[in-house]
Amino acid sequence: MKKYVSYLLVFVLLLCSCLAACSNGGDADTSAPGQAADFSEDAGTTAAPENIPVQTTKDPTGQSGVGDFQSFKGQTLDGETVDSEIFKNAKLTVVNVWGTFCSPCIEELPHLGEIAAEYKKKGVQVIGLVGDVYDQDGKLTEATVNDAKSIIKETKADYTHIVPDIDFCRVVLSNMTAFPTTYFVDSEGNFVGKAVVGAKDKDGWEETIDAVLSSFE
Amino acid sequence: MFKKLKENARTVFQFCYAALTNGYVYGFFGGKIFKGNTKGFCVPGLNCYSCPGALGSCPIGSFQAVLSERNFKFAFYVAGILMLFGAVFGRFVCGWLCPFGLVQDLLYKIPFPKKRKKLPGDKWLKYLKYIVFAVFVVLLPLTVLDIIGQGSPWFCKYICPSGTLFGAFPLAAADEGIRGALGSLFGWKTAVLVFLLLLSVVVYRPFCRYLCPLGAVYSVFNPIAFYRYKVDSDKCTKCGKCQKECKMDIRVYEKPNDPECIRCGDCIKACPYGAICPSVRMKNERSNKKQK
Repeated sequence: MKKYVSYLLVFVLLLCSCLAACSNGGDADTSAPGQAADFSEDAGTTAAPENIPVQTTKDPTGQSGVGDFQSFKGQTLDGETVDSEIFKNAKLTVVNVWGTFCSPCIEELPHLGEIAAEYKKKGVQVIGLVGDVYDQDGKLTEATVNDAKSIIKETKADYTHIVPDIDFCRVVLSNMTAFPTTYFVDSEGNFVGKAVVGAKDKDGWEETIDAVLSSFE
Repeated sequence: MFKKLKENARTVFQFCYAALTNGYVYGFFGGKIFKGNTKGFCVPGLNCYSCPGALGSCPIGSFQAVLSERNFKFAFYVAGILMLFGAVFGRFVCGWLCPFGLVQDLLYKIPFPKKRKKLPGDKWLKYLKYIVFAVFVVLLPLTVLDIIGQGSPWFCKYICPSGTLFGAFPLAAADEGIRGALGSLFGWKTAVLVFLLLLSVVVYRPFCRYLCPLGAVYSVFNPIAFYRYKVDSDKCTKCGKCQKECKMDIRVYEKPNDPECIRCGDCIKACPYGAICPSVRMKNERSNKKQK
């Protein structure tokens, strides 16, 4: 009997310590991270404490596609409004969805920068979509936008980067399995070819984009 | 039938537990990772966050992820959870609550001419898991940074076979995009996994013995955890049957709470005098320290 009492005691102690550890708001101490196990990896995003602005994604829906980019709305990093009119600038638009938290995304930005310059004459434009600028409450986070700007400067990926508006952002993210994901869109905003998951180097992108170009020519 | 169940109670428990904590069945069909609220909690075993069915997070994965973040230098929440699990359960987690442990257990049941309990050089190799923890889980994520100061989860990325088996394989099977992204790193991870799976047929739980950083953490707690094994010195005759049955090759009558013990309980079943029993650490056990 004594053995079970001791087991019970341990259990009750544990329960009390777990309950005591729970609290409603985040901790005031900024040097310790918040309650949630927060992490980022190149596959997916998850809930994060207040000072890491990452868009939380709802449970995935049954769809595997995003629909289309015709309802696309957003702003450039400098604040200019953008909508699906932007796709009319090129025969093919490479939309690379990346995040400041995602190392592989950052690694491929220089390659995409070179691609953007080289493929301009072929009627291909590259657009970056920064996917982690909103916090859990849907507010735009200045810190991440600034991070994005400095990353772009460092990596010389100086094509247009866009912060999508919150609703579009949610739609895109809830259907993405991982960062980065790259979509191919024609001048009308329709999908072309298949979305690419994962980062590529310059040769990889040349191969992929050439294949997409030839498929709809 | 019930007798069979009772004999294999631990394996049945491991199955049920693995199924429960990876119960997001929809994830397997859609190739999606569950992102609900329970993902904020770490499960005690080496259960990949990216397993489509996983309802909780891997503590080792979480630890690396927080260390990789540019704003954080230490993962207090995860460290706390690891200490909690360690202090209460010790390596009971390894024996009962780890899906990859279950895989190795099952593989060892496959018949093979010469079964071994350990590899040659075990005396030194068993410390390798502490090095894996120090280097791949702590040091490298903290020090190898990208241009804005973010690290990478080195253990998850280059070593973890549990992640390959339960995360990469199901996701790749179900999602075309992921399949397209697989490259040489996946080749390496698969080679590591296959090697360990094959080795597990010959050697008992080689990953747990030599490589697992989570096992390394919990092993430190084993001698002091709440859940422990007690040897009744009045009943024990030092016949050595416990060590013979012990697949981790531990001299149970001398060190019932050895850092390598995964609490499978085979020694308890084997002891002809019933001298070993599981118990909860109480204050008066300090006088039994010589039994350790």
